[in-house]
Amino acid sequence: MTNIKKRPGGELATRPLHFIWIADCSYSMDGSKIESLNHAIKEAIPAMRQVAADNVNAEVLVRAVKFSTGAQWHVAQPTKVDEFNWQDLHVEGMTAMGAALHLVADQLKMPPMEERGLPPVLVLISDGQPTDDFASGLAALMKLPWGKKAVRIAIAIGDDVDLDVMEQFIGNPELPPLQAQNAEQLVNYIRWVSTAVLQAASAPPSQVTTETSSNVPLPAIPSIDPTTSADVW
Amino acid sequence: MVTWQVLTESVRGATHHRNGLRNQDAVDHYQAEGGLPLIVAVADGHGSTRCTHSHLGAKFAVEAAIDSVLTVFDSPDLTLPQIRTLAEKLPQTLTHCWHDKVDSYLKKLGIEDCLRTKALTKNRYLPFGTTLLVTCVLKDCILYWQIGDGDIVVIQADGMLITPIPNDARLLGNDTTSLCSKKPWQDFRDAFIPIVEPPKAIFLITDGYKNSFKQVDGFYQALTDINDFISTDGADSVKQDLAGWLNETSQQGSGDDISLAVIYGAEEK
Repeated sequence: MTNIKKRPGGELATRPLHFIWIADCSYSMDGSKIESLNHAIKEAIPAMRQVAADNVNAEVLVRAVKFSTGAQWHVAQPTKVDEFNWQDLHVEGMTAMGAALHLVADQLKMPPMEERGLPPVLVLISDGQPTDDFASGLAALMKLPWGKKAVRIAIAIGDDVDLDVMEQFIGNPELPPLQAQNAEQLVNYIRWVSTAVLQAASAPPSQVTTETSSNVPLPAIPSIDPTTSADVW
Repeated sequence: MVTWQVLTESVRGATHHRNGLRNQDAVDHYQAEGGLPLIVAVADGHGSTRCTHSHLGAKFAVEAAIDSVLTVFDSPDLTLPQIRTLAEKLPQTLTHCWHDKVDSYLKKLGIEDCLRTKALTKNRYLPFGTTLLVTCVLKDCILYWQIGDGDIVVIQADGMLITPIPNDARLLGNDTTSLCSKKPWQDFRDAFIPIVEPPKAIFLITDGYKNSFKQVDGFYQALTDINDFISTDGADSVKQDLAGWLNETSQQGSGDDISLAVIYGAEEK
């Protein structure tokens, strides 16, 4: 009989992939914007679960930050996507985007982040302009190795967004902010981020540090149907 | 008197199995008839959509490592200071050797294939992008070189584990330095360690292995375990199980290709 030795080494684990929604809950989001955002994220969860199921060597962990007059964790615990449920956001106050980025930066330090993790995905969603010190929040994020290496996506809702701020957040001239002019477009972009981007971040090939401006090779941004009949924000 | 022996294994990653991708790692070694020099090289092709030929890049890298290290360090008359100086210059020699192998491959391709490969990028070496880990054991010293991610770990005579190559903070997530960069010799890290007491073992491993362990201690434990198994059960026995262990590790861990080479000392009878 062959003597099969125990596998060498300690406990094995798939690589953690932190996915963080950073959502604007300022008063300007009142009405159909916040309703559409809540609906779009809820709709995207089954697709996220499917992507996670197809990429078993990545452990997708989802969280959410909300910002208005201040910023706080809406879902504080990194939650396995199978157990993740979306509680509706409600609007109030201002647009403390800088404070939101400070909150995220606190969680991207090592520890609690692990060196062996996959690049985190940060999705900033807003319809307006920061009313606090955005630059300080972004600087806090970008001084961290995982802040710099994160896949940073921004979704602009409506026409009043400060796109310059969003471009600074993304930090990649090849990836513009996604501009949703109505509920249907918002659903499409949220779905793209939740599936195509998540898929790309789940099993990224190695890439040469100097050869690319994107931390993970991203799929094509979905094209928007200009004939859509949905109400425009 | 210690005689050095080498055990190697390379397995296709679980994610690569699922996605129909080949193993993009390569591992090779050379040992002179008298036992020294002993040269071991492990490479991890990047596998990105731009690095379409990275499995070949990895293969050329381990070949270039052996060719260039052997050419430079084959003489038994080199003094330690000479070895040290030559070791610092090796990355440039090795890079040129790798470039020659890539260029020779491109030359052999049909003209259309060649143009298509070159047209993919302004940098004709990018499709062949790979990391490289190299160790050369000489009579009085051991030399190490590394570009990109992966690990070289030494189990010293006293059982302590050390990593002779300095850390590179740029290697986080999926980003890596690479042989296909513009001046890759600038991104090489190296170490020159005179032999006071011969180490028990030297491991060269692609990053898919360490990334599979929940804690880094579990990774170091794996290397200690493998060395202990070689001591107690023999290398042949370990060789039988090694691919199975690495496959299990990739499946339950990173999903990446895993390649491992271990240089271990055996007391001469």
